[in-house]
Amino acid sequence: MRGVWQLVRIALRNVVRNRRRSAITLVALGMAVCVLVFLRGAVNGLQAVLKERVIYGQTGVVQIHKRGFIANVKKSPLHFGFPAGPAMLAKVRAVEGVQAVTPRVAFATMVSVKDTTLFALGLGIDPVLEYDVCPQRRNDLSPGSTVSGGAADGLGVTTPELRDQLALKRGDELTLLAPDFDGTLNGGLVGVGGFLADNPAFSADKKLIFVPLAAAQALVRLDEQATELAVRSADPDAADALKQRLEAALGPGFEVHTWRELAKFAVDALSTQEKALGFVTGIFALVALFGILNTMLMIVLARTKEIGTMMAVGVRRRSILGLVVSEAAILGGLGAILGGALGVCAVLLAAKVGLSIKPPGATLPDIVRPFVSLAFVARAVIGAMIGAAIAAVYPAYRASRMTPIEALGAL
Amino acid sequence: MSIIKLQGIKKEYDLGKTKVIALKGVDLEVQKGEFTVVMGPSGSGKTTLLNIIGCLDRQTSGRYDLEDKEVVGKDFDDLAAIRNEKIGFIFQMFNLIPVLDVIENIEFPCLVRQVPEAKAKLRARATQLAEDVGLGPYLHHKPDELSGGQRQRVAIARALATQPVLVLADEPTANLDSKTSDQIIDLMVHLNKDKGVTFLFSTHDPRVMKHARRVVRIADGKIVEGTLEEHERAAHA
Repeated sequence: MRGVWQLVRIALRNVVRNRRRSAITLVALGMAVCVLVFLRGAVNGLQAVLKERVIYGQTGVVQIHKRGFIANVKKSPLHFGFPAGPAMLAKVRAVEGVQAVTPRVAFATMVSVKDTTLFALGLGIDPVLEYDVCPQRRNDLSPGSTVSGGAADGLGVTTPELRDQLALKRGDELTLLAPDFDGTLNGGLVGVGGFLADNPAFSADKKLIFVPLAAAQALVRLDEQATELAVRSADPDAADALKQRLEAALGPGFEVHTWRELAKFAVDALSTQEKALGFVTGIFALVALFGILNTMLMIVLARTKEIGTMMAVGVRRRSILGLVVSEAAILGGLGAILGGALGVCAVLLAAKVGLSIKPPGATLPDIVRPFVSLAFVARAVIGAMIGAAIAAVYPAYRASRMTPIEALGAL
Repeated sequence: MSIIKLQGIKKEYDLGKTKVIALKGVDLEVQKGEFTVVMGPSGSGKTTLLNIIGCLDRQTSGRYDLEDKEVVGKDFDDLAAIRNEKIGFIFQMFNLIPVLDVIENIEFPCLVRQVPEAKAKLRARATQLAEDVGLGPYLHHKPDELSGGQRQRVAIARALATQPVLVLADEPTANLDSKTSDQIIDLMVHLNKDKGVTFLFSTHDPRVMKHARRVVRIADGKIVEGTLEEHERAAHA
């Protein structure tokens, strides 16, 4: 044991002894780990913004539909209306983890103003409950816009695309024509209460109109009914467990979908980001490890005679191997700790300042606040240490396979 | 008592298309307490002979007994253990570990043993050895803070630290000035006479040879025994 400690002590002193080379290696490794930690933090922040936009601006944590709704959503969504009065809402609220619930009616409609008519998707939302589930919706409205009123005096909002194509302005009156569940075409009037701001979460549905729930229910003859209930809970990452509890509480007549199942585009975006980060991480790791490999080969070359001396006085092969590997691990560990600390500082600074990043399809940038878990930093540090040790195995093996004569040159 | 006994030791180096025969059947015995010098011109095979005696290299054929036990078929780690326990090395270029100080360099061979001795006992012995070679005031100096002579003294103390049966010294005075060489030779003579340490040298230094109780001349891969005067006459003949 003392022999091992003696070799580790020599490895430590060797790191200190070649200050310039150690410093270069530490800086290179440290920079790699620092950049990785910062990238992880930035991606975390970006993903948090995206998830927030989806969960608190569109889907809720989970949605409840009548069984078969998702499979037929494009064909006949109105056939899947279900009672969504106070009793149903109370039943959902009673499920563990549910913080808020709101009914919605999704429908397809023709929107007419003066002599122009366009097809659009409509969503009836409860002017009060909706914001309990999706508070981001308020941020998605342009200043002064509102969805309010009831069936007779409802004010709705449209996307900028619909606004521009219909030349809408606040206060205009829109005629909505929509078929109900049995195909009968119904009409209704809704005032223009404002417009949505540009919002990447709705980039797929550019012609969209939000109307008060009562107006939508009257239009498609789904009184006291909804086509979906959006649910909010404290922990979006525990959506699967909430889904199971809700399915158990509501029975087989309903289906529950998590935000991940509903917002495939967001999940794909998160997955793409993870893959890109993984690829970048791999490249950084390879470059850093080849750097260590090169450094350790140089070290072995420079210390061949020293290694020969050690062999001559009785140091065994595995100890030579251990000496070189432990020196690399020390270098890797120190560099990674340095880089990890710098990376955390960079993440904290960026979180304080906020990074202005414009997601694809958005006209307005988001303020991303990077964050990183200590577990990730610890994994990065330990990974760099182990990686450095692995990278040193080849040089160490070469060193240990020399004969004392080769290493010493000659006695 | 015979410390080493070589019988018909041959060593060939395979250099691809050619084979170089460095030793052509060497017979040699070294007794306990001897102060023996191996001399010979460059390329005569003396370094190869010392490498084999030091278990740093293996003979192509022949028998090598160290303390009446044949050194044959041993793997790397077995030979490392023999070197550690039985043989001390003094190199021409001192070969100290640069990151260790004087006392640590002296202790080093003892610390890499499978079963190291008690720390306090080892430190006391290493300190005594350092004082014996005149390095008492320099225990915590690094090698680059010492003169050439002082470094060779550390190497001598290190060679003795494991209490070996044999100390091999390769041109130990070759990189020292004459005054320091004399001091180092005196030190080794003193260690040989007073402590019974067995030394086997490879050297061209006449001052070392002057102290040798026995001079072994090697020429063309073979041993030629005789006194120093006989060898000198042979060299000038």
